[in-house]
Amino acid sequence: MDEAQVIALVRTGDTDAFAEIIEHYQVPIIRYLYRLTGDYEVAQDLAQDTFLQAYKGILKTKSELSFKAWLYRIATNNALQFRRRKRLLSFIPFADLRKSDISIVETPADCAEENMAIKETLLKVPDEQRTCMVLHFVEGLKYREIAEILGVSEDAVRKRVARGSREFREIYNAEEVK
Amino acid sequence: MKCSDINELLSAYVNGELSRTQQEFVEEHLAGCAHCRAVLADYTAVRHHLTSLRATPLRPDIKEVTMSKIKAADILKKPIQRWTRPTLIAAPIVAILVALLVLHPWSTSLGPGGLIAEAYAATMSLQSYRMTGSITSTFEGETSEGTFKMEFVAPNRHHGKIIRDGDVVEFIIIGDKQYIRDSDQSRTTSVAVAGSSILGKEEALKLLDSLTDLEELPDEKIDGIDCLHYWGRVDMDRMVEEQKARLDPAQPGYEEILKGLEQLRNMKIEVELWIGKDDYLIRQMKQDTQVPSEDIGQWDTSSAMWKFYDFNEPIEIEPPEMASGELLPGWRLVDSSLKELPFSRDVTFTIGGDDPAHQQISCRITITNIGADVASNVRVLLATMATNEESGWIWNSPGPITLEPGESKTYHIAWEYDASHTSKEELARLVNLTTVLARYTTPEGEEAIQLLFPDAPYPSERPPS
Repeated sequence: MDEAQVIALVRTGDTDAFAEIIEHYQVPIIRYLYRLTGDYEVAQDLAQDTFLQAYKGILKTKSELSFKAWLYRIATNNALQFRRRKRLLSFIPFADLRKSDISIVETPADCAEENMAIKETLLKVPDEQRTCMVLHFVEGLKYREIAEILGVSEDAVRKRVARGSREFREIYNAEEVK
Repeated sequence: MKCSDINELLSAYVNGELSRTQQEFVEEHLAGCAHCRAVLADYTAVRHHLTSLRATPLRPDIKEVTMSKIKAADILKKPIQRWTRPTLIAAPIVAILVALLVLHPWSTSLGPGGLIAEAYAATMSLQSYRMTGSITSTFEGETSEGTFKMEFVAPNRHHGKIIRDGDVVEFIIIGDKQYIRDSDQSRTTSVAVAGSSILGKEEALKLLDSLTDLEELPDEKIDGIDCLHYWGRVDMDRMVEEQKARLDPAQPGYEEILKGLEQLRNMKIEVELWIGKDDYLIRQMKQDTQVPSEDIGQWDTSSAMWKFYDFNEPIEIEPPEMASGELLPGWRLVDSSLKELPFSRDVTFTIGGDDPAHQQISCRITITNIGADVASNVRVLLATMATNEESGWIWNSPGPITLEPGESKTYHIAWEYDASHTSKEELARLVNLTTVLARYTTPEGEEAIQLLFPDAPYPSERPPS
């Protein structure tokens, strides 16, 4: 079944059809959220929220965006909102709801050998630029698609990727020197 | 063209996303600029580094839990289905509820009220039993059949198997923990969700308590045992009124739930009981349910019959785990986050004052213990960035309180904000980012936290237009 058919089914009340959407997108969406938040557990939670919102959205709205772009947009908003909230919670003494700092990086057991330096460097790049970099380099999306997801111009995406890359390089090199 | 202009095109160049003219521009510049060539080399490295993250092996499994949340939300959204679906689809679970009812000496002079008191006492004293049954239902014109088996050990262990239209679902429920083994995951979540919300003695007792038009029929023998035989109808009007009284007008979707409840008045539930003459235990029970379908003039129906036996026999129900603590193959633990939270809450913010330098922000927090347990040591905390303090501002409720089930507490908090340099929208956004939490101690002595505001742990802003 193609995506449009699945979405049509969901709209007609076939809730179960939505499982196909989750099946298809869960890996990229969790990976994307993981890159933005640095916490695998949080990424899984946010991915659940993302799919829930997408499900409700399918029923309520007709987006002019492609489904994929729209899904990434919801995920992006969730991740940014999470980071804002985390900063807020970080000054609450008992706020053990979530890890309080991005330096605690949870990793899926499988990728413990992954290059920690790359991952941590990426997390230090400002949100706006990191979002574009991850969408582009990790998720392999075109600038046009990223522009659609973020609701900005292609030019802005290009600038963000360029600046982000520069920042990444600087932080990464500085860490290596240490 | 300047190096800084080229710089911004370089990453696109590396990705092959430039137009031909742009590409030529860049190449021409690169040929004569060592600095930009170095930058290009760096981009290539960044690209290489980040692309390596693509290969991170992930084995996520959020499909089931997300689908069960979606379904839970759906059940709440469609109140009529909250009743009909559990009755029709999860009728076995309803059966389990009623199986908990074992009646004490019951004379025809004893009205339903007295009967309930007796039933409750008897239910409490029953240590174990088994039951088996079958159900036929027609929902939206489609008929389905099922059989089920269940065993129960006091105080809170259930083990059952439901076979419905070829799907097999086995479950073990021990206290808060629900283990499931199934052949169709989507079906299971329904059962699990329904089970978690209605597997309480209270609901079952209500059902029996609401029987009206009770009639005594001629005695019958069930499995060779002489039984008293009764027939009754559930008083739907009363049930609706009771449900309505329990609703909180502040809860989301209140109007819709109310509308759904009203539709229940048209639902018909008839119950037939066979009760052992000597031990006054329910031996057999039949329940017929009719729900007006969305198609006018049509009815969705279900008819279930169940038998009870092995009263107080030794039965063992253990978690489906190996000695190592690992789950046995095929079993999974149902996400416990579906458990209802103890507090309903109403948090409202007001921003007022004509002078931007003295904006009055006030917050009213009302929490109500809607759980079945006492919440002790309740402390409410508000943390906000809508303050001139750089690191935010925290308010703690004065002294811990205890909230009995049904009890509420309201707090009013007010503070001032100098918004001379902040737009109204920005202030509203900051206020909206406020976090309100309740900490409390459960009857088990565990320290717990419930987020009161915002509603969900990670609310999303509407996607920007």
